[in-house]
Parts: sequence; C-alpha cells; structure tokens
Amino acid sequence: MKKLLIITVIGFNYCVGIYFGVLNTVYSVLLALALFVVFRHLRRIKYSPYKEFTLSSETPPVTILIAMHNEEKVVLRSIRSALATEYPFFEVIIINDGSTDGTLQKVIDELGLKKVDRVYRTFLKTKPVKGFYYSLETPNLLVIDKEQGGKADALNCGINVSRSPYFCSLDADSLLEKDALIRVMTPLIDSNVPVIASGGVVRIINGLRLTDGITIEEIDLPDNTLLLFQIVEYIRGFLFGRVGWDSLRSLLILSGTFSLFQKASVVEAGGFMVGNLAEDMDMIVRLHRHMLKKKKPYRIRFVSDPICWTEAPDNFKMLGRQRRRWHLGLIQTIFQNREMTLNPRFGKIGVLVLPYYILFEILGPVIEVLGYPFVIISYFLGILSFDFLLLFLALAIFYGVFLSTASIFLEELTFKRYPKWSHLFKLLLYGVLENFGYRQINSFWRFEALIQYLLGRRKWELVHKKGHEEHMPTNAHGTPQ
Amino acid sequence: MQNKVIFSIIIVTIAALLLLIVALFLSSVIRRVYKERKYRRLDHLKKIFDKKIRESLESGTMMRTQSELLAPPNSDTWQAIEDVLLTMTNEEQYRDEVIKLISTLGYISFYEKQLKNRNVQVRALSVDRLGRMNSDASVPKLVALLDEKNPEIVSVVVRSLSRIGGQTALKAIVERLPVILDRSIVTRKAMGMALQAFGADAIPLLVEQKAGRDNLWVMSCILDILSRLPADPRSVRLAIEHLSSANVEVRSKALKVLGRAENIHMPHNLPELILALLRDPVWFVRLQAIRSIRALGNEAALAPVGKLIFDENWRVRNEAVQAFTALGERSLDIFLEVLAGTDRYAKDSICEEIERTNFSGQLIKNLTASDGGLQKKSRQVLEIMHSLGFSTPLSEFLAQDGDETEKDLIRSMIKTGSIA
Repeated sequence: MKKLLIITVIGFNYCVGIYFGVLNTVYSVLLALALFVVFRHLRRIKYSPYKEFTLSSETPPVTILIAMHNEEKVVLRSIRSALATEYPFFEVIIINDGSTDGTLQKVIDELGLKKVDRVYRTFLKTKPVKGFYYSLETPNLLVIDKEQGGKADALNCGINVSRSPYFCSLDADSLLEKDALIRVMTPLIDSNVPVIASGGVVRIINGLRLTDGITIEEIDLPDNTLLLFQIVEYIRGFLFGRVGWDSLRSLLILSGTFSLFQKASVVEAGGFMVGNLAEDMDMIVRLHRHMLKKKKPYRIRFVSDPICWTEAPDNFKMLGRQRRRWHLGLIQTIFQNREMTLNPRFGKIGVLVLPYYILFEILGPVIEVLGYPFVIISYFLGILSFDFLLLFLALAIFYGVFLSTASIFLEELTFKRYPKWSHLFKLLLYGVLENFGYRQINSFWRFEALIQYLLGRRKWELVHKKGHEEHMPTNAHGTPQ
Repeated sequence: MQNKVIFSIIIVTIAALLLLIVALFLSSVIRRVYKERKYRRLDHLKKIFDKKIRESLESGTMMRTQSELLAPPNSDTWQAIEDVLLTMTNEEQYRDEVIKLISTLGYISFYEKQLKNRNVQVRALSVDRLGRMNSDASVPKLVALLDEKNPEIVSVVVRSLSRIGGQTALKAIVERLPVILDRSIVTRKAMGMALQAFGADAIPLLVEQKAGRDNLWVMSCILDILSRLPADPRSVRLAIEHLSSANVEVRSKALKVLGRAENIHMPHNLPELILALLRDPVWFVRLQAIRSIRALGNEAALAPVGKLIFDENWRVRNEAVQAFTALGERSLDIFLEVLAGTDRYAKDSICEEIERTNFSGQLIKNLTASDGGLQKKSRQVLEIMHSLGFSTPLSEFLAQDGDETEKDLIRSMIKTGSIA
C-alpha cells in the first residue's frame, strides 16, 4: 500500500515538474512574441491612418450593444461614453434584460425616451420583447425592454434589432475611450482577410477620477489591495497573453466587456449561446468552429491600443463569484465544442490551442490545489527533500514575478496609463505580492468551479457593481450632451 | 549526482530570472526617467521654437533665424522643430513659408534618404512624414514607391500623395489604378480615401481612365470613387453610360453616382432609365435605384417605387417605405393601398416608419383638418396602425394636453377599434 502511495506521489511530482516546464515555456514564448508585436505596433501606430478612418466612407457602420440587468448605478456611464464615441456611423442599442430595479426607468428619464411600437423580427430566437424606447432627439439610440434571458439572450436580441454589419458588445458598467471603437475597427478595415471579430484592452475603472462622468481627469490606483492585484492581472492578461495568442492567430477569448463582431458571421454561427457562463469565449470558439468547418478565410484579432475601462469586484465574495463563473464558462465552452479538440480539421485551434486550454487552464487549478497535499504527503513519506521543495517554490514565485514585471514593462512601453512613480512601484510590488496568497485563492476558486461543473451546479453568480450614481448632463431639450 | 544537476539547473534558472526581473525593473525605471526628461525637454524646446519661428515669420526675419534652427537629425532640437513645423503646416497663414522652411532645414532630404532604408516601418514613416510636410519635390520619389509590392508601403504612399496633392501625384495614382486596386483590399481602400482627398480634380482623370473601359471591376471602383466626389456632369455622363452594364457592381455604383448628383442637369429620359432598374434581379441595385430616384426629387417618378414596398428583400422594402414617408401627406394614398393589403411585413414597416419619424403626430393633427380628403385618409391610416398594435402615439397624445375634439376621436378609435 505504502509502495503504491509512494509511486503515485512520485508520479504526480514528475507530472508537476513536466507540467510546470511546459506551461512556463508556453508563457515565455507568448511573452517574447508579445514584446516583438508590441514594438512593431508602436512603430506602426506613428503612421497609422486610424484618425482618417473616422472621416472615411470606408468605415462600416457599427451598432454598440449594451445589455443591462439591474445596473441602475452604472448604466448611464456606459451609455454616455458609448454615445460620445468618435466614430462616423454608429447606433447604440441598450437591452434591458428584465431588470427588477429602476434601471429602465432611469435610462428613460435621463435620456428623455418615449415608447415606440416596433416589430421585433428574429434571426436569433430570444425571450419576448416588452417594448422599445426611442427619442427623435437622439436618433442613434434605441432601448429595448425584454424579459430576462441572460446576457447572451440580450445580446442576441440586440443583434436582431441592429441594422449595422458590425456590432460591438459593451458591458453596462464600462467606460469606452472616445477613440476605442475606431481603433478596434482598424484591423477590420485594414486587412486583406475578413476580420470577423476584434477585441481591445479592458482596464479597471476603480481609482479613476472622471469629469462629466465620462472624461478621465486623472488616473490613480485604488487603495483596495484586491483591486491592485486585479490591475496587475489585467495588464498581464491583455498585454502579453492576448497579444501573444493573437500573433499566433490562435485567440480563443475576446473580452465580452468590449469586443467587435461581424454580425453575419455571428448569426451564421447561431448567435450567443444562452446558458453559457462565458458567452464571449463561447462565441469566439464557435466562430472558429464555423469558419473552419466552412473553410472560409477569416481572422480574429486582438488590438492592444483601444481601451475600455470597467468595474472590478472589490471584495472576496464578488471576486470569487466572478472567477468561478469565468472558469465554469471556460469548461462549458471547451466541453460544448469538444468535437474540435485534437481534430486536425480545426487546424492549430483543434490540435494545439484547445488541448492547451484543457491541460493548463481547466486542469491547472487541480494540479496547483492538489500540489499542496502532495507536498505534505511527500514530506511525510520521506521522498521530498526540503531544500528541493524550497527551490522549486522559489522558482515558481520568481517566474510569476518575472511575468508580472515583464507585463508592467510592456505597459511602460505602450500606454503608460499609470503615470505616477508611485503607480509603477505599487504595480511592481503587487506583481510580487500576488504570488503569496492571491494566486492560490484564485486557483482555489477555479478548482471550486471545476467541482461545481462536475456536480452539475452551473449557475450565473451575480456580481454586484458599486458604480457612481450620476445624472447625465442634458441640454435645454433634455437631450444628452 | 542527478539531484545535484537538477539543483544546479534550478538555481541557475532562479538566478537568471532574478537578473531578468532586476533588468526589467531597471529598464522600466530608467526608461521612465529618460522619457520624462526627454518629453520635458521637448515640450520646453517646442515652446521656444514655436515662439521663435512665429516671430521670425511675422517679422520677415526668417533668413536670419534659419541658422539657429539647424540641428543634427534625430536630436531633441530636430524633433521639437519638426513637431512645431508640422503643426504650423495646418495654419493657412504660415503654410507656404513653413513648407519651404522644412525643406531648407534638411527634413525633406533626410526623409528622402530614409526611403531607401531596408526596414519597411522606417520607409513607411518617412513616406508619411513627407506627406505631412507637403513636399512637392518628393512626389517623383514617392510615385516610384507606388510600384512596390508591399501593400503597407503602397497605402502610406497613396495617402501621402493625396496630402501633397497636385496633378502629378493624382495622375500617378490614377494611372496605376488597376494595379493598385488589384494588389490588396487595403491598398484599394487607401486609394479610395486618397482620391476623395483630391476632390473634384480627380474627376476628369478618373472619367478618362482607359482601364475602366476594358475591366468592369475597375469601372465599378471608379464609379464608387466618383460617387464620393462632388457632383459633376462628367461623372453623371459616365454613370448613365454604365446604367445598363452587364456587371451588377457597375450598375449599382452608376446609380450611386446619380443618387449624389444633385443640381446637375440630367437628361429627360433619366428617370425611365433608373425606373427600369427597379426591376433589377439583384436587390442592392433595386435599393440603389430607389435612392437615386429619391435624390432626383422627381415625385412623379416615385410612384413605381410603391411596388417595392412588397419587395422580397427587407432592405429594399425599408428603403421604399422611407422614400414614401419622406413625402409626408403625399404618400398617404400609397400607404393606404399597402395597409389595405395582406403583406404584414410591408404594413409593419410602414407603421414603424410613420412612428419613428413622428409622422404619426401629423396624422393626428390632420384628424381635425379642413381638407376632408386628408382628414379621412389620416384617420384610416391611424385606424389601421391601431389595429396592428401601433397605438403608442395615440395613447401618448391622450396623456398630453391637447385638442379635446381630436382626443375624443382617438378615444373612440381606441375603444371601438375605429373612428366613428
């Protein structure tokens, strides 16, 4: 019995070693690619015509879709920033997904909307629509009130009503920078291969000081430790993770907070999947699946300069909910699209990227969480050298710190959105500190999600947003300025 | 032994990581210090040179000041002066003198030399700068780059040439039009935007482009560009010539040109030519035909568009409905004809458009109009709208302060489903 246990433990330890080596090699490759791509992008941006696109008839119309459910504290900010976007032809569609608070009434009152009768024609099946609200004063804005069906259902409803060939999904608690839409559209205009989806960078809004509710007056870091960890995490995730995967043309995730899609491709792929907890990732995976099956040329792009600011959870309870939901969504998506895994028909997405996600993203927390009891067992079985354990831990921590430092360096090279010296040092410090507790808690939440998935508990855990209660400045006619 | 090797590897890796972390940390700090100093200095220099250049230009003493503006390429002073001069090229009063000054100070020759650099991005940046500097003298060198294979370079060259403007640049682009169009979507889009920037000057060259006569795809692109340029009789003539083209893109783009040709003398038979295209088998040609007829402002010609309210394509139907709604009360007969029919989509589209454009408000006012015919037709349209579920304008009207006679009529309609 003891022998079997020893063999198991030794086997596990070897697996962990190999796993750790492969994972860190992948990260290193992604980081190297990200550095190369970011440098190239920075040089290109000097002569990029994106500003000219705001005046060009080559720029296609876009519909901004904002799904809202009980977001009365934050929704006005995202509507105002969406309406203030610098883009030649766009409409904004707000979908009230069965809010039970005053969200809808607040939007109607603040924007001076009136009920209009419209026929709801469905390409994508959704929950019934209860009403439409519109104002001649803001003709590019339409509010749809519908029965609750979840974010995916709300987005599908917006797609049904939208009349543009492209749509941009935006979270109801977000703030879109004025040039973000044209920047995220640039790869679609400036590409020889049809770009069917494109995503930008998401940053954490907590800590920002805003004037008139939508203009950034000063960027500051929040005092909350949890938020600081998340800021480092977002910088790392967007600046090296996504950029790296994009350069390999293997993106599986674009943030639903701010992504642009070609409507026809999304409709052909069946729209957003209702019931999936990560509808953004699911959409991207199904777009790959659809286009690869049809053997159509396509690209899915990530652009590192358009920025959308969004609110992040500032307490463990809400953060735990968010992370569990993300991980459950990831598992759901991979499982629902399992036909693609290791299937050469789906090219590198099927053969390399999906297996990577299964091994390192889905099962990563299992290895990490199980690692701790195995270390203790190994120690008691006498098969673990304490020196070796310390060295291995040091290696893992130093590698984590290295990745965070490299990401902050990338941030310095590119946007430098955190301009003060104190910001730089704080971010670097939190890049170190996150390895002591925060990463482990995250792994635990993801592990919990995996268990929940296996037990069939796949529910959307609502994350409450604090927001800033503000009124939209209006002119004499009650029109938003 | 084996353990020792593993230990050593891990220790070396940790040491390497530590070194990398320190290097990245120091790079971040040093870069920030360097950039902060550099930008502070650049801002300071920009202020000084902006003042100096403006004063010299205004006092006519630029010849004397020039020597003070000479700086080694890529130095902070060089960059600051370049930024100031580029900003000043957008100011009409200094434009010509600043362009001359840019050349005298050596910026043009510097960037022209960079055009031979092997790095694509350096070349592209130099092309872009020459365009921003409006360097007329660089046009031949830029034109030569139009024959490059790299679409990135070609796009930037086309944009820069359009910024510089002039017949040589324009001719060079139009002459290479078929090749540039063929090269990539990116270069095609860049060319469309660039030719727009040339404005009306591009029209005669585009109209006379011979390649378009043999290549229908090139012709469709030419017509597309013409449709975005100011209205011109030559564009209209070319468009009319191609209205009956065998190529669907050409027909559609020809209609687009006609749709934008306001205030241009048109041949008398033009509405007939366009009306024929209302029966085109391709939906976007029919859609464009409606838009062109609307743009002609010939109401008599609009009557046949009524049939397209029942078109099989929803975009065509919507366009037809919008065309009629814009006519206001004069569209009531057509609307009533459709609303009395069985096509639910067409009926819904009309009701939606009436509500969206607030034409419903006018219809409510018409309920008490002195013109009996108008009153009756407005009432009928409102009744049908109500029966189809488009009652919000009625209920909203009742909720507001307003004419009680009109309100009574509406109450009666809501109660009985029709106005007594």
